[in-house]
Amino acid sequence: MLQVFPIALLLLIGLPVVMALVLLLFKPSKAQTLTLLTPILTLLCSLFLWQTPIPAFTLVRFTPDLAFLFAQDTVASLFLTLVQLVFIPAILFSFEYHNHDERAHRMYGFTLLSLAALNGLCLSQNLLTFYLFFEMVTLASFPLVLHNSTMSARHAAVVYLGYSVAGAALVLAGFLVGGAPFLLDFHTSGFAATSSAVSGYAWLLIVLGFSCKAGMFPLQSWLPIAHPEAPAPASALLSGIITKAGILGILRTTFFLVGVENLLHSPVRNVMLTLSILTIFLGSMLAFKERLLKRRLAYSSVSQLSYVIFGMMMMTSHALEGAVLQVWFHAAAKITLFLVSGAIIHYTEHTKVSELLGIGKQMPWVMACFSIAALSLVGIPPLGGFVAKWFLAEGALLPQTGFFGWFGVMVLMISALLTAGYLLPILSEGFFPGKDYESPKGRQPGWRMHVSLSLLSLFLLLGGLFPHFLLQPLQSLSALLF
Amino acid sequence: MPNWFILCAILTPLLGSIAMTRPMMQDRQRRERYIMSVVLATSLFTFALILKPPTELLKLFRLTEHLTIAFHVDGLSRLFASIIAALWPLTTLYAFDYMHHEGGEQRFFGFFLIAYGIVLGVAFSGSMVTMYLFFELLTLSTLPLVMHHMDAKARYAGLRYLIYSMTGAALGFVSVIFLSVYGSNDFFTLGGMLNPLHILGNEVVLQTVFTLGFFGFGVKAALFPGYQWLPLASIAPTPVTALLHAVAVVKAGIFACIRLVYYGYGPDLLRGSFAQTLTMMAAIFTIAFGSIMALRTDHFKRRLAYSTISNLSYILFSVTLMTDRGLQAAGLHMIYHAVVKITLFFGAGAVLAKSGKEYVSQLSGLAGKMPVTFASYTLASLALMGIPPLPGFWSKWAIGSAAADVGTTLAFWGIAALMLSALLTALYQMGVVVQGYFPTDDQQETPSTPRMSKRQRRSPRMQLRAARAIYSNQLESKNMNLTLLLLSAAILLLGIFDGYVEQWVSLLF
Repeated sequence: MLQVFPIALLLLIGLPVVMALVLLLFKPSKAQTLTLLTPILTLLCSLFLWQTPIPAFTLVRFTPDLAFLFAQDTVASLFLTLVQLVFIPAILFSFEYHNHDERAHRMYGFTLLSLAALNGLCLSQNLLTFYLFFEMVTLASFPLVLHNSTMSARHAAVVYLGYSVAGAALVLAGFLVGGAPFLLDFHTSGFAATSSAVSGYAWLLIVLGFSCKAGMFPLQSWLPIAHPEAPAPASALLSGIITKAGILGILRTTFFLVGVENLLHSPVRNVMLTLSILTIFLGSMLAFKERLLKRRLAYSSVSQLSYVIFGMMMMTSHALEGAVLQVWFHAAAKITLFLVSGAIIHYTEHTKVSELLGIGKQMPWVMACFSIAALSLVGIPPLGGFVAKWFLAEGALLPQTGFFGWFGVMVLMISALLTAGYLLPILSEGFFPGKDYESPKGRQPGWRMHVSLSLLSLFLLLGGLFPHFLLQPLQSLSALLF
Repeated sequence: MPNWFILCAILTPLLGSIAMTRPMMQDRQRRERYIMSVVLATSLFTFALILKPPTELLKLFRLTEHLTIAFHVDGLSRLFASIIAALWPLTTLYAFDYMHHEGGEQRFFGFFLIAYGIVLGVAFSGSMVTMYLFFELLTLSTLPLVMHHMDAKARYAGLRYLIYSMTGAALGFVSVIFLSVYGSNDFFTLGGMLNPLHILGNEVVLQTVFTLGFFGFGVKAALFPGYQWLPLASIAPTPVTALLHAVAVVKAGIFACIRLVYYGYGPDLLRGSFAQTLTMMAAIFTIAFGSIMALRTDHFKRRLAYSTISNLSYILFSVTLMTDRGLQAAGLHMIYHAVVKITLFFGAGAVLAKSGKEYVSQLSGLAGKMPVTFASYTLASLALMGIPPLPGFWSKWAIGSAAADVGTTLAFWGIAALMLSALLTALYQMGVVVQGYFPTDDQQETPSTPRMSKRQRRSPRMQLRAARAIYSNQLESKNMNLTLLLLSAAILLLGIFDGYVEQWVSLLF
C-alpha cells in the first residue's frame, strides 16, 4: 500500500486544492460540475481506502523532531469518509441556493479548500501536521462567513477568525509546554513516559484550544455569531463538520498522544468533564430561548458537540464509541437542519421561528426532512442520533465512571428534553397551523435541494437501522485503546 | 579571506556615496546603474566574508590601552550581515521605482549607501567601542532618510528619532564604559568579556549597568518605553521604513543587545538576577503592547510599525532567556522576521505609491487591482501569524520551546504573551487582507490617486500615464512586483528548508 498512499494523498488533498484554485482564479463556466465532481472523486478514494491501515508517510522532515506526517488508521478513515459524505449534499444544495449569485465561484472555491484542509486534518499523523491543517481549516472557511459582503458578515468572520486563532494559539502553547512527548506520532501504546503533571496541564491547554472550534464553554460565543451570518450551505458545513475538526483534535491528543491511563485519575480531566456537562445544558437552554432559527441551531450545535466531548472524557469504550457515532449523526442531522433553514430563507425569506407558521404546508418534503433530522437530534429510535446517545449513556453509566457518569447522563436527558422543546414546536406549528390558515403560494424548492436533503435524511434513517458498519470499526478501535 | 577585506565591504558604499553629489547622476538610468553596482559589489564582498570569515581580528588603531577600533567576523556578525547583504540589493531595486514619485533621489540614495556601509560596520565591529561608534553614526546617517519629505511632520518625526536614539546611546555608553573598566580586554568573546576577578563583589553594580545599557540599546529595537519614535518614523519613504525600520536599524539595536548579553556581560552573570527579570518583563510587555496597538491603528504603515515593535520584542524576549537555545531562537527570528516584515512593508509601500491610500479602511477591494501585491502580502501575513510550514512558525516555535526549557514563571508568561500576540497578529493582518479581497457592498470605494513628485506633477505626460494606470486598473509596476515575488519565494523556501537554516544558525554560536 505504500505506493498507493501518496497518490491517495494527492487525490484527497491536492485535487480539491487544485480545483479550488481553478475556481477562484479562472472562474470557469462549468464551475458547478467541477465543484461537485471533486468530493465525489475524493469519496470514492476514501471508500477505496476504507479501514485499510496505512503506515506513516513523511511528506517533509524539517528537523529530526518536526515533520509533516500522514497515515490512515481507523479514526482517520471514519472521519475522512464522513467529511466526503456530508460535503456532497451540502455542495449540491448550494448550487440552488447560490443560483443567482455572481460570486458563487468564490463560495465553491473556498468550500473545496475547506474540504482539502479537513482531509489533511483527518490524515495527519502527528500534532504538528494536525496544527497546520487546523489553521488551514480556519483560513479556508472564514471567507465562507464573509461571503455576504455586509459589515455584520465581516464582523462575524473576524470573530470566527479570532476565536479559532486563539484556540490554535492555546494548542500551540500546550504543545510548547508539553515538549517532547507531544512531538511523537499519534500512537496507541507506550504512554508511560508522559505521565507527569506538566503534560497534564499541557494536555488541558491543547484540549481547551481544540474545544474552541467545537464550541465548548467558555469559548463558544463565536458559533451563534458566525453561523447565522454565513450563507446556509456554509453554515451547515461550519456547524456540521468544521466544528468536528476540534473534536478530532481532542480525540487525537487524548487517546493517541497522552493516553487514557495518564488522564483517568488526573484532576485536569475533571475540568473538561465539568465544562462539557455545563455546555450541554447551557447550549440547550440558550437554544430554547433563541428566536432566530439559524442561531437556535447554532446553540444546539454548542450543546450537541459537548455530548461528544463528554463521551470522550468518560474514557470508557462504549462512551467513546457513542462519541464517534454522535460525530457522524450530529453532522448529518445538523447539516440537514441548516440546509432546511437555508431553503426557508431562500424561498420565503423567513429567519425567525415565529414566522414559520404553516411552513410544512408550503414545503412539505423539505419539512419532512427537517422532522427526521430533528427527531434524530432529540434521540428518537430508530434514527442515528438514538444509537449514538444510547452508547453514550451506556458508557457513562459504567460503575467506574462515578459521579460525573450519572450526573452527565442526567444532564443529557434534560438536554434531550430541551432539544425536543426547541425543535418540535417548529414542526407542530409548521405542519398544523390551524384551520383558518391559508398557505401562501410560493415557489417550491427545486430538485437539487430535495435530493440533497433526502440523501441526508436517508442516511440518518439507515444509520439508525444498520449501525453495524460503524460499530465494527469502532469496536476494533476501542479494543485497541482500552 | 584576509582580514583587511572587511574594510572593503564597509568602505565601498561609504566612498561610493560621494559620487552621488555629482551632477552627472541626475540622469536616472546612469544613476540607477551606478547605485546598483555599488550595492551589489558590497553585497558580494559581504557574502565572501560570511562564507569564508577571516580568522584574525583587524585592529585598526588604538584610542587608549583599553579602547581599540577593531573589526572581526564572528557568528553573530555573519548572521546579521547576511540579512543585510541579502535584503539591501532587493530594497534598492524597489526604491528605484518607489523614489521616482518621491523626488530627491540623489540625496536619498547617497545617504542610503552610507547607511549600508555603517550597518556593515556595526555588524563587523570587533570591540564595544567600535560598535558604539557605528551605532551613533547609524543614527546620524539615517536621519536625513527619515526626514526625506522635509515637511513639518517629517522634521518632527526626525527630531524625535534623534532624541530617542541619542538618549538610548547615552545609556548604552555608560554600559560600554563599565565593560571596558571591568573587562579583561575590549574584544567580544562569546560568554562575556568581563574579567572574573573584577566581577567578584561588584555583581549588583554590573547588573544595574547592564540593565541601563540593555534599555539604552533597546531604544533602537523599540523596546518599551523607548518605542515611540518607530511609529512616528513611518512617515519616511517606504524603502526606509521597510529596510531600516524593520530590518537594519532596529536589528542593529537587537544586535547590540545580544552583544551586551552574550558577548559583554555574559549570561552567567545575569541569569536569575533582577536584571534578567526586568529586561524580560519589558520584552514581554512590549510583545503584547505592540500587537494591541497594531490592532488599534488604522494607518497602514503605522500598523506595521507597531507589529515590528511587537516582533522585535519576540527576539529580545528570546535574548533575555540567557540560554544557548534562546540565542539561537533569537537569531532565527531575526532572519525570518526581516524577510517577512520587509515584504509586508513593500506591499504597503506599493499600495501607498500607486493608489495613494494610507489607511487600512480605504483599501476595500484593492486586491483586484494589485493582485501580486496582495498575494505576497497575504503570504507574508500568514508567515507572520505563524502558520506552519512558513518561517514565522518555526522561529516562534524555537522561541517558545527555548522559553519552556528555561521553565521559570516569567518564561511561561512570555509564552502566553507570544500566543496572545499570535492571535492579535492574525486579527490585524487578516484585517488588511479581508479589506483587500472582500469589500463589503455598503462600502464606498475611495478613488486611487498615485503619488507624484513635484516634477512629475508638472509634466503632462506623467499625469496622462497616471490616469491611464487608474482606468486600466493596472496599479502595479514591474520592479516592485519583481521584488515582491522574489521575497515571497524566499519566504516559502525559508519555511520549507527551515531545517538547514536552523542548522546553520546553530553552528554560528
